[in-house]
Formats: sequence, C-alpha cells, structure tokens
Amino acid sequence: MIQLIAYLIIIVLTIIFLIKMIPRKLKKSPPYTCGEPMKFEKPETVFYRTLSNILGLKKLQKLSTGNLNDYLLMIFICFMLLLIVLVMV
Amino acid sequence: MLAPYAVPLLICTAFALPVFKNEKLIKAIAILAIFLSLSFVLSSSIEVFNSGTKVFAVSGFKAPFGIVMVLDKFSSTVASLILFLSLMIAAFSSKLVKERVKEFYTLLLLGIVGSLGIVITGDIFNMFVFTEIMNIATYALIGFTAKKEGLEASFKYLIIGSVSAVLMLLAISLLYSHVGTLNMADIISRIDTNDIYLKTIFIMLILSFCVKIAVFPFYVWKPDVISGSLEPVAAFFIGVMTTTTVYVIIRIFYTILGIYYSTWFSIIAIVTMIVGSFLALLQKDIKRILAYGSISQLGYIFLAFSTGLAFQGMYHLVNNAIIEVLLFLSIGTMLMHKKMMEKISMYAFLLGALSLIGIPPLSAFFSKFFIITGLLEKNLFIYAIISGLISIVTLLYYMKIYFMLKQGEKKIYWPIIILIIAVLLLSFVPVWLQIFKGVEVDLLARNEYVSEVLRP
Repeated sequence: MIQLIAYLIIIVLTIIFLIKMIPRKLKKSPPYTCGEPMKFEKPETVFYRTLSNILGLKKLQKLSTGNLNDYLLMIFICFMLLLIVLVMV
Repeated sequence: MLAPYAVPLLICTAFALPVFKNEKLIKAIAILAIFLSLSFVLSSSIEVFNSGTKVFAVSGFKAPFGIVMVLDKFSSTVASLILFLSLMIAAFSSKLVKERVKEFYTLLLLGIVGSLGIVITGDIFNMFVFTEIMNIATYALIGFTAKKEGLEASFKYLIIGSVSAVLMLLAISLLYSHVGTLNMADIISRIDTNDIYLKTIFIMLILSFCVKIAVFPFYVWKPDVISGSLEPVAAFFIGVMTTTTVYVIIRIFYTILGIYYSTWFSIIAIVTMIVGSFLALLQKDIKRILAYGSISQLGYIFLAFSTGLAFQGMYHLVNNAIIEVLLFLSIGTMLMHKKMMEKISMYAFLLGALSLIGIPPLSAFFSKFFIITGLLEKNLFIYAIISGLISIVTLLYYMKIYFMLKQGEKKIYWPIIILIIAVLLLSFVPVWLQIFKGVEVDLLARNEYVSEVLRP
C-alpha cells in the first residue's frame, strides 16, 4: 500500500515537473550544442521530420511534383500497366 | 422518382433568369431545393426498404429500349447520403461565399443533379453523361475563387478528368459494340464473365473511374486539387463526388459482373491505404493532409468491398463521407476567421478525427472494427494487420493537424452541429447494421435486380 502511494506521488510529481518545467525551459533558454545556439523548433516538428526521415517518405513525395505533364505520364503508364496485369491474371 | 433531381435542375436553370438578383433569396432557394430533393429521396427510400426496388421508365419506354431509373436499397442509401451532405455544404457555403453567389449555387446544384443522376440511373451511358455533368460543375467550382491556386487546381482536374472521361467513353462504346445494349440489367443477362474481351472492357471502365477518385497509383493530382479549392468545394469533392464514384465502381463489380472478391483490387486498396496515410504525415498544409487522409480512407472502403465485406464497406463509406465533410467544414471556419477556429468547430474537428482514427465508441471505430474482424474471419490476416497498423499512422497525421489549429472567435455554424450529431448517431450500431445488411442483401441479389428492371 505504502509502495503504491509512493509510486503515485512519483508519477504525479513527474507529470507536474513535465508540465511546468519543459515548456518554460524551451521558451526562455534555447538549447545549446557544443556552445552553438540551436534554432528553436517545436517538439512536434522535430518528431514528424525524424519520422519522415526514418521512413524515407521524401522519395515517395517526389512523385507529386505538381507538374501536370508528370501526372499525365504517370497516370497513362500506370493505367496501361494495370490494364495489362489485370487482364492477364 | 424524377422529382429528386428535377427540383435542383429546375432551380439551377431558373437562376439564369434576371429575376434572381437578391443573394439571400438565391441562397435560401438553393438550400430549400436540396432539402426538398432530400425529402423526396428519403420518402422513396422508406418505400424501397419496405416494399423493394422501384423502377421508373422515362417517357414510358420500358427497359431495355427506354431509359430507366432504378432505386434499390444501395442507390437510395447513397442518394440520401449525398443529398444530406450537399445540404450541409450548401448551408455552410451561405456564410463563406460572398461573391458571385448565383454562379456558385447554380454550379453546386448542377453538381448535385449529376451525382444524383449517376446513382439513380439504370443505364450505363446515362451514368457517363451524369458523370460529366457532375464533373463540369466541379471543374468550375474548384476554380471558383479565381485565384492562382484555384485556377491551377481546376485546370489540372479538367485535364485529368477529361482523360478519364475519354477512357470511360471508349470502354462504354466497346461494350455497346460487343453486347448491343447499355441497360445495366440487360447487360447482366447478356454477358459472359469469362469472355476476355469483355473483361478488358470492364477493367478499363473500372480503372477510368479509379483515376477520377485518385486510387493508387492515380492519386498524385488529388492533393493539388483539394488544396487549391475552397473548403466547401473540397468537402463536395471528397464527400459527394468520391462517394458517387465509389458507388459506380461497386455497382459494376457487384451488380454487373457479380465479382465479390478480387485479390488484385485488394492489393491496390492496401497500397492506397499505406501510401495515402504515410504521405499525409509529410504534408505541411492542412488541406493536403486531409486530401491524403481521404485517399487512405478510400483504401479501407475498397479493401472491404474487394474482399466481399459489403455491409462493412458500406458502413465505412457512409462514416467516411460524413466525417470528411465535417473535417473540411470545420477547417473552413478558419478561412472565415483569419486562420482562427471557434471552439465548437475545433471540437467537431477533434470528434471527426478521433472517429476516423478508430477511437471507441465513435462511429468509424465500429466500421473499421467490422472490416478488420471480417478480414480475420476470412483468414486474411496480413490485410487485417496492415489495416490496424494504418490506424496508428492516421492518429499521427490527425495529431499533426491538431498542432496547427488555433482557437479564436466564437461563432457557431449549424451545419457543423448537425454533422456532429450525425457522427454521434452513426455510433448507434444496431440500427445501421440492419440498414447496411439490407443493402448488402440487395447488392448480392443480381437476379432480382435484373427481373425487377426487365419486368414486362
């Protein structure tokens, strides 16, 4: 029982610490690496960028060039390929 | 049966008269016309669910010689859904669209006429004609803002839509030359599904519709088009047009060809799901994230239908359409209030997003749950695992949007409230299961469809 109360206190204190300390620290003093000030970035921005790097999503994104010619070519090639494959199977 | 699309068609034609100058009057009449159309469809749907399929021969010529309108459980459910969503979009647009109001509502009504026509017609060539009516209205609606992005999006969709239309028309012409009829029930009674020539024609027809709704690998243009259009137009594009096109593909698969399982289309659905959700993670613009998200959700719908899970697919189709419209209209409030969102819209967005992620007890949780359990029952473990994992990626990209939102002015828009209620009502599973299982029974009964339409 005492252990449970102790764990609860630790969890509550950790949550309070996280809520109170982290945002203040990030806002008031930017983190330093080897003495060089780092550009401040929101944690979610860092998270999504890291995720995209790990999964190699940028290669997939390159297909959406925004150029209509590329889109038409891609649609035409994929259409013909799928048509042939689906008819053959 | 003609009334549901005769009313919006008459009203949008009447808007050409110089009498209609008052913008408030135009908005009110357009909303009233959609409401009337919805009432007609709902009353017909109740009849269909109670006493079976309704067939109406236009000009008195019966099928297969004349053009027939067919309202069965599947078409009446989809027609009710698209009219309900159109009503919400029209009501919301009344606050957002301040310039060229007459043109906007004329085009919106024309788009509704096209989508309703597609759903109700029993003739495959009429389906093509109504698809083009719907598309022409949409091309203009996408470029409605006349800003650079809008015009570019409209032009891209015009070209890609035209390519798809040419392929569609080619397939329909080949079908007519081979079978000698365009009436769907008559085609069913004449075709041999083992004929390689017919197989090629139908695959061509289905793929041309796949280009229109941006299924993998034809998805690349969709985010550009969505991000360039106004929010209500994007909602119309994803909620109404996509639902209508999915209806056509399912109608061809289930009713005309009698194919309930297709491994290749399941694979396409799975890849659509994966590519859509992962690319959504990479986007920085809210509308682009939502566009990729909608591509991913299309994957779930196609996966369900291509593995023979018709009622599960139908449930997710309805859920997805309502939630996507809710998400776009919630985001639309940001446009009205200088990138700020009022509290109710923010909660509405959260509700929609949480539902699509699959958080219980919200509606899309149940549809996804039914799809995954259905896949497990059919021993399609890999599909089930991927579907489950993609829900986690869905959580990540909706979280990304949530981080971008800013809370601002307090203004409540009733279409958003009604859509919230609709999402909550969709969570009452037993009622919907009964309806969607009825749709599934109707979809699988090909012979009954033929006998009803071709009855002398």
